[in-house]
Amino acid sequence: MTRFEALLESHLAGALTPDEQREFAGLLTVDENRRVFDAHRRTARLLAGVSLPPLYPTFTEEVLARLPEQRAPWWERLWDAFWAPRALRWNLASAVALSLVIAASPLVWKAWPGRPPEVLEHSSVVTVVRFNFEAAGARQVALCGDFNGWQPDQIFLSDTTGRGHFSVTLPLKPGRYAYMFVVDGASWVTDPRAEAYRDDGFGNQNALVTIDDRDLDHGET
Amino acid sequence: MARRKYRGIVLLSAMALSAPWCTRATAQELETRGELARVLERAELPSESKALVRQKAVEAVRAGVAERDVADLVQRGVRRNVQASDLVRLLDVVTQAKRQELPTGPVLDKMREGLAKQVPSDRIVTVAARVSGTLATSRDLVRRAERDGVRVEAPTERVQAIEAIADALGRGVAPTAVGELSRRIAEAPRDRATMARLNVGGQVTADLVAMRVSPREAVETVGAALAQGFGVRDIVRLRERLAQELKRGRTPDDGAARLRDEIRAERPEAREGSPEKDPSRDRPGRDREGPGGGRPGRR
Repeated sequence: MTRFEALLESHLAGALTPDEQREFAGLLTVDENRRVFDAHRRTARLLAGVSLPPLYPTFTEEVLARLPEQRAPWWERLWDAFWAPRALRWNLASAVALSLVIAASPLVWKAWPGRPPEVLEHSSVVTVVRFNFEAAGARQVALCGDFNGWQPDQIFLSDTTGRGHFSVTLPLKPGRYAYMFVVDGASWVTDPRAEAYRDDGFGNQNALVTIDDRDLDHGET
Repeated sequence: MARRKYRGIVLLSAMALSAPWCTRATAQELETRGELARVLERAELPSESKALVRQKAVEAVRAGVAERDVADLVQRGVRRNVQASDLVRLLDVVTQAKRQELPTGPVLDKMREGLAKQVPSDRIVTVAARVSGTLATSRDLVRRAERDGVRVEAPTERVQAIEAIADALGRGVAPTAVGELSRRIAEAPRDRATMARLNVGGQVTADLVAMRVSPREAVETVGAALAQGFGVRDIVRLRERLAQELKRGRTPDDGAARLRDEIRAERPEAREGSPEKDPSRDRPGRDREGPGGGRPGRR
């Protein structure tokens, strides 16, 4: 770039200092420089009458995308598809909406009525067990154990004979259960004819009943 | 323009980061509005005590204890007129158990049992803490068994084994004896080195002790069965076989000794081809006293 061209560029940009203006005026006395200057001035006048539309943000990307390019092999395109950086266009409204969705989704999942119940334990077999207890003179006998969360007012034995022979049947899943009888709502009594016993830690013996898992018949032997 | 852009990014990041906390807080808010909140509202406790119990109850729920279980414990405690300070101690025991990743079912069961039997609160706390300690020992034994090569085929097996071994420990079986059982299982061929066998081994050992066999004899008997390569079903049958020995008039320890002799004399192929293999013979209650015999009977 010559000195005149540099000064011309600054002149068109309106950035000449007073010293440079004097130097530029001196150079314009040369005919060749004068012709170039006039040509630029005419072009500038023409452009001043043209209204330019504002460029939209993706103009450059779209122009570049339309440019013809050599077709790359499929593995390179696949690689690019995975690793090529992409511009994420977002606004505050969509960001707020996305954040709300992220925040609310666990609650929706928790409360969704159609969600199947969580299976904690699977057992296809329930064994019906009869509990018997002799308590002549007792008005009420309740059965209480691991199987009912030790609720003393839930399972009552019935005396069908009227002679103090109380019994109740209960469906139980495979497992081992500790239990006791509660006579007349106050007295805790260990089953005297249980198959096994265990110290309850509170000074009494719990009776034990074991329900074998019939599924074992089909499992490991 | 650039400043506005950065402000938006900061705002978006802050919202994204706060989402998990918002969710958690909302979930906890729901929890305290649920069953537990209703129980606490209805509890006839002085306001200060109620606040203390609420704080401990929320701690328990945050530790991972099911809200339903916490609400149930508080409800039962209040119904039995347990002092707030004792209720707090009970909640502490179950919270600590959960934080140690122990199964809380046996701890809560023992608390429910104690409350139902109207045992003094101090005693319930002591016994529940002991149960928790036994579970911790059991958990360590199960972990060691896994390290030694005992395979866990389903996650529930681990919890079941912890509970079964804790049961055996609670009945006086020594941890070293359980370690010996797990060592024998770990040394078995791969298809038999399973946590299911350790679980059943622990259960049956505990059951034999419950049938008045001494802990040492019970471990010896189950250990003999494991050494002979007994499977789960055959180990479970040891209970019935001991019951038959007791019916013949033997003492529990003599019966166990006799059973061991039989086990050691058995050839694996005899067991595989014997009528024991017939599943119908193993159905519970086949040869047990029927209804009316005083014992729980199966129908």
